[in-house]
Parts: sequence; C-alpha cells; structure tokens
Amino acid sequence: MRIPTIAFVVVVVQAMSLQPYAARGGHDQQQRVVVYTSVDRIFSEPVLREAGKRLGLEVVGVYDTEETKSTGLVNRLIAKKDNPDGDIFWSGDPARAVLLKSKGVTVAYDSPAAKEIPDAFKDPERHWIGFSARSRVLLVNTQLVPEGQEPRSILDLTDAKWKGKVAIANPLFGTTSFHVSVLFGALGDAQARQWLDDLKANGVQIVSSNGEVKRQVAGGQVAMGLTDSDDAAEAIKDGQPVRVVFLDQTLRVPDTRDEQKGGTPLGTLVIPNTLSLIKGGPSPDGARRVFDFLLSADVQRMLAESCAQAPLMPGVTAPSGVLSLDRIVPMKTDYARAADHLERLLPMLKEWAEKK
Amino acid sequence: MTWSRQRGTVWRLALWATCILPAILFTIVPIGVLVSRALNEGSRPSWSASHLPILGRTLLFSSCVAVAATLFGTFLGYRLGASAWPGKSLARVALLLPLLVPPYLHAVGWTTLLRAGGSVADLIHGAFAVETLRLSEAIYSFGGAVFVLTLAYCPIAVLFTEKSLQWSSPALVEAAQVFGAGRWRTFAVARWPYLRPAVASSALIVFLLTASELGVPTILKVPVFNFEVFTQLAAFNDITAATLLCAPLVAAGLLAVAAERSISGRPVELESPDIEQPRPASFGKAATNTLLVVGFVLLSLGAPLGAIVAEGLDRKALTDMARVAAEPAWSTLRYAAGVVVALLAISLGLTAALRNGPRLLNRVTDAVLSIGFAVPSTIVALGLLAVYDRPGIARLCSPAVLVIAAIVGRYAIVGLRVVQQARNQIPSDLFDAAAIAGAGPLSQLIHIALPLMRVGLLVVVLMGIVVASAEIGSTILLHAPGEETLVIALYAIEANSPRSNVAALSLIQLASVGVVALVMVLLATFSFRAGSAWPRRNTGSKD
Repeated sequence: MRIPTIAFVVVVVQAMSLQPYAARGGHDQQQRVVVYTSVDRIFSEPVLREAGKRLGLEVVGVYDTEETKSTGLVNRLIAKKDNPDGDIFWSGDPARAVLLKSKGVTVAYDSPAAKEIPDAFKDPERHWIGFSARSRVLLVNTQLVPEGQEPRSILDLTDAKWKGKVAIANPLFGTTSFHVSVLFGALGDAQARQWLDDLKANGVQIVSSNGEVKRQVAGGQVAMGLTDSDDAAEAIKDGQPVRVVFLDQTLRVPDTRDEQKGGTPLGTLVIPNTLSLIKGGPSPDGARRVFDFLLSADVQRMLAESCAQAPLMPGVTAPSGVLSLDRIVPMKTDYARAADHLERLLPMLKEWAEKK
Repeated sequence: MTWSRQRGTVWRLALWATCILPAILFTIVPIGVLVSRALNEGSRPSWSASHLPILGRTLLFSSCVAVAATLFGTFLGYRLGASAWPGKSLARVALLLPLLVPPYLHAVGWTTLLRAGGSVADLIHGAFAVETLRLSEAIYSFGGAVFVLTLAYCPIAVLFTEKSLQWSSPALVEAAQVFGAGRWRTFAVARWPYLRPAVASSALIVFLLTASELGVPTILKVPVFNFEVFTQLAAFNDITAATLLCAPLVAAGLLAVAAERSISGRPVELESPDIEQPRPASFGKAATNTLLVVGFVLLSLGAPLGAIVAEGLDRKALTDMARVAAEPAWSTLRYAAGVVVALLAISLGLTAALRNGPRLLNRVTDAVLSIGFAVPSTIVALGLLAVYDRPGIARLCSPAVLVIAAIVGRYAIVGLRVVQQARNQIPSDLFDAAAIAGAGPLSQLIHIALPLMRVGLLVVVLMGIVVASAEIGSTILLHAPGEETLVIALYAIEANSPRSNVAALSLIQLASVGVVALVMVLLATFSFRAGSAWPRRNTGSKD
C-alpha cells in the first residue's frame, strides 16, 4: 500500500464521518423541529411522523431507551441548556417535566390547544401541559392466578399468599418512583413506609424496568407485577397469558387515609404525558405548531389506539378496552408536589431497594 | 516515524504529545472540569459502606471474566498456533468472529435461547428434566454473566497467544526436549517468555472491558459498580456525585494497568524472523483442534445468534426494522469510520513514540488512557458537553466529532495495547537493515511495520467498528438529532416492541457490522499483499 493511497483513504474516511454535520449546516433550521421524547419509540414515532406530514415540517425525534431510564434525555437537556438542540420535551410522566422546569431548561407556553384539558393536568405556570394518560395497573398471569383470586388493592400485595410472586420495577426510576411518591402522599409517610417494608419482607422481586415486569409476568417467573398500562396493553396485544387489574377501585382497604376521611377508595394512579417547550430551542415557531398539534384530539385518539392511553380532552372517546377516566376511580394527585416529594424520598428508596 | 531503535528524544516527545493531546483534551479535561465543579460546589463523594460490597463484586466479576477468558483463549490460541494443521487460517478467522458481535447481543441471544417457555428450554426440559425456570435463572446470574462475557472476549486472548507463538522457535522447543525437559518445563522455558506479555495484555484488556460493561450486567441483572454511578445520574440527576463516585473505578483501572506492566516485564527482543515452520500436527491433534474450534464457534456464536435469528426470521419484522435501521446504520458506519481512523493513528503514533522510550512517558500514557477508560462513558460525555457544547466552539466540535472523540478516548488504551503487542512481535533488526539500506522512517512504517502488524491493525479496525456500533453511554448523549446509532435504535425499540422486531433489528445490526468488518478485512488483506515490498513471512502454516 502506497503513502498516497493511505492518505487518500484517511481523508475520505474522515470526511465521510463528519459529512452529515456539514451538510445539515445548510438546512433551514426553522423547518426542522426536534422533539425529545421519553415515550417508547414504537408509540411516539408514528405521532411525530404524522405531525411532520400535517404541518409540512421536518419533525425529528430524539428517543430514550428503557435501559438508560431517561438518563440520556434529561441529562442531555440539562447539559445542553446553554446551547439546546431540541425544541420540545415530550415526557411520559410529569416528574421529569417538573425537574426540567426547576433546572431552568423549559419555558412557559400556554398553548391554545390545551384549553379543554383540565387544570389538574397542567403546571400553573404552563411550563408543562399534560395530555393522554397512562395508569399504573397490576398485570396478572392468567395461568398462575385464577380469575377473581387476584389482589384488589395495592396494599394486598403484602399478603403472605403472594410471597415471592410479585414484581415491581426499581422504585428509583421512572413511573414506579413517581407511583411510590404519590402513595407516600396519599397514605402518609408512616403507612407507606410500612407497606414498602412489608412488601420487601414478602419477597417482592425488584426488576430493572416496567417492561421487565411485563416479561416476568408473561413468562410466569412471577404471578403478578405493577406496571404501566401501555406495557400491559402490549402484552395483551402480543397474546401473552395476562390480564389487567385496576387496583383500589372499591373500598376494600379499611385503614387507608381516605377511608378515615370519608371512605373513598384510594384509586388508580393516572400518569399524564407532558409537553414542555425548551428554552432557546432552535425553532421556536415550528415548535409551537408541533406543540399545539401534539395536544390535539387527533393525537390523543392515536395514542388511545396504539398504546391504550386515556385521552384527557373531554369529548375524545377512547376505543373499547382502553382506559377511560370516567370508568375508573383515579387517585387524587398533585403532580408537581409528588415530583418535589420524590426528591426527598429517593435516598430512602435507594436504601430500601438495596436492602436484602 | 521511526521503527528502529534509536531516534531523537525531541522527535519522540513531539509525536507522543501529538497523539496524547486528543486523549487529554477529550477525556482528561472534561473529567477534570466536572471534578473541579464538584469540588467548587462543595460536593463530597456519596461514598458509603454499602458501596464496598458492590465494588468488590464488580472487581471479582471483572477478574473472573479476565481469568476465564484469558485461560480459555490462551488454551485455544496455543492449540491454534503451536503446530501446523489443515484449515488453520479458516480456524483463525472463525475464532475471531465472536468479537464482531457487541457483548449485549450475546446476552440478548442467551436470554432468548434459555427463556422459560422457549423451545430450547422445553427441549432441555424434555431431555434432561431440568426445570425451564432453572435455565432462565442460571443465565440471569453472576455465573451467567461471567459465562457470556468470557465467550464474548476470549478471542482477544486467542489472537494474542497465537501471534506470540509465531515467534517462539520450534527448534527451541525441540532443544528443551532433547535435554530432557518435561512437557511443563519445555513450556516454561521455550514458550512462556513469548506468551507472558500476550497473556498479561489479554487479561488487562478483558478486565477493563468487563469493568466498564453496563449492558450485559443490566440485561442479566448482575449489580455492578457502574450501576451506582448510573443511579446517581438517572435517579438523582446528580452529575457531580456521579463524577466523584468514579474514583474507585479509576483506581482499579490504574492498578490493573500497573499489574499488567509488572506481569509482562520487558518485551523479548526478537531477532530476524525465524523461517522455521511449526511442526505439522498429527491427524488426531488436527482433528481435536478442528473439533475444539467448531465447538467454540457453535457455543459462542451459533447458540446465541441462532436464537436471535430464529426469532427474527419474520419477513414483516425484517422489512419494518430495515426501514427503522437505514439512517442509524449510516450514522453507525460514519462514527465507526472516524473511530477506526483515529484509533489507528493514535495507537500507531503512541507505539512508535513509546517504543524503548522513557518509563515515565509510558506510565503517563497509561495513566491518561486508563482514566479515560475507567470513567463511565456517560460521565465523559457529560463532561464533553460541559466543555465543548457552547455557542462558537460547537461549530468546531460537532456532535459527530464529540461522539468519535468519546469512543476513541475510551478505547485508545485497548488499541494501543493491541498495536504494541503487534509491534513487539516484529524483530528489530529488520528495521536496522532497512535503515542501513537507506529506508526512511515512513518507508519503514509502510513497507515493514504495517504489513507485519496487519493482524494487530485489523483487530484494532474490528474493535473500532464493534465499539462504535455497541457504545451507548456516550452516543445517546452526544449524537445529533436524527443521527442515532443502531444500538440506540435497538434499545429504544426494546421496551415495547414485539420480540420479533427486537430480534430482527439485532440481526440487522449484526449483519451490518459483520459486512463492514468483512469488507475491511478483505480490503486490508489484499492491499497489504499487493502493496508490500516485504515478502510475506512464512508463518509455518501451509494453508
């Protein structure tokens, strides 16, 4: 091999590896809207593609992975705060939106498309707005737990009958951490802590993610597990031997705070998706158009069909078999407070998760 | 560039500085900035007694994989290199194939193969009455993770061992035998001095690769120290605490490098190439070798990949995933190209600068590169964003540059060790003879060093391709929007896509890495054969 050949190969290869950056420099940045999303790609990508098609924009998704637990997206957004390359953050839960607001990454935007969404699902300063919602459900293996025998309350998971048969995702991450935080608010610190300890004593299996909970239940490694409704919907769609139980829909738990206050059930935790506008994003005008589109009834309908998410906009009917907020008892939740509360709980949760 | 023994100190220092500077700029400076911020904020490492067991477990895990992969790989490499037998070249290529597969795909393959309710589990249950859950539990364990990574990494030891044996003279072995030395004594005096540096380097590389691995332990549920760092980032969003928590990993990396230096000793000075061929193996030995190679390839590659292929053989899934994979495959290829060129340049430059150089320079190089390797890539990436992702600088340090820099900074020490090993196996008097004949340093590099180091360089090329396609910690933070890599796409669909889609995308990734690697191997082989002025050395194998 001769020197000019080597030099030629080196130059070509290096030029090739850096070429797309140079090529993109010539694009009209206003026509390109970048959406960071922690929602599973299988569900979010078709929506972003539709947004691009309808609005005539190039809508590019930056997706997260379940294994990195949003580390990628959230830390990236924080690290790139002074030089953001994203316009919108579409989160699968409000906790991350609250965190980004506290870090000064997002900017307020009171979208006209959000008028009909109840205020309970919006940040008072409009740094985030909730739309389609998932819920936390109990996924049960139908071959291991006969119909009617399953727990009806989250507090029943500590029953000795289920020793070693229940799985949850690591409560330090994702919607599980948010769920625990809301439970602490609803039950009070002492009772919630006791429940966690009882759960541990009952041999709960702590796995890496909600998707893993789904796999363990479907595979029969455990009889049941707490997971998100979209994971559950996918397992059912795949024909796995599972069924979904919405917990705490009737007053079966005599010692909850709610009962002391008047006897309403604890309810099922509803977790909305949230949208936030990134401060200083490269395409503010296009971003607002995409933001408004993502809050539209059409998108809520798409998400209801693809991943069984409950529309939060009145008048958008969910297909049969999809969670509808008027058909369940939702847990009363102050999302911002729960997200703040979570920060305080994390050291305790870490200790709990590591305890043998 | 000099490949002879004596060259000026100034030249050596200049070359060293040029090659080490990118590593300093893209690993040490970013990490230093994060540490400095942490100290300015008054942060303290969130170190607690609870970290000790997990650190111990991580070191034990890495050591187990290093020992197992080195022992097994050295054994296979010894069988391959100690004698001449038909099909040896083919066996050499086959034994390197597992290196082309990113480790997490090995894990995905084994979990697919042994999952409860899967066909293999049912088969084993039917044949041996083993509970299917037991099989699943066996792979989701410390031992399972050691097993998977041992198979994934042992080709490194195979390669190093086999190359080292090429320079140990069969005549020396025979002389030892003539003077009555037993089997072990013969091995100790005639083989081990040549093998020792190769074994030490293999063990170091496998140890470092395992200690930095997060994908396989996460998939197989083996808690490792990296996960603690990751938790600080993912759960607590505390970059400073995560950075300070890396200190034990850095210390472990530095200790491992020091241990390797100590075990290796000074490289054996080789004289002119020994033209003798290894003695031909008997039929029984050749048959055993062939069976060993076939068995290894089936176990390390056939079993896990077979499971993935079996699940991915769904035309619709393949079509859907081919659409998803198109852009990520292109991005992966671009990053891999950049990584390969940079890794080769830095490794070759540093090898030349450090050869017979001052010990201090070697130690500083080891320290700088070890830190880049030991610190989890997510932290390095966050540091890179903190330092270089600013208006103005960002035009120079594009996302592609940062992705390539992060990967190269991390794997430069592995590349360096491979190239140093390859260089150690070239007799120095070849360069002296060339110099006497009037060949300049560049000519010596092109006509002597590169052709004789081609296997080592190919390993660096393959490694660059594999690490660029498997790295996720830094690429997920640094890639430009719309320029994700295949591994990011795979992890992104893994959560809720049908298993056939995950299998299909894994297969596409494997195929794309494999095809590119194969093209590189063929290209390099033919280029060197066509262009080298140096006659092909007779390595003893006739095939």
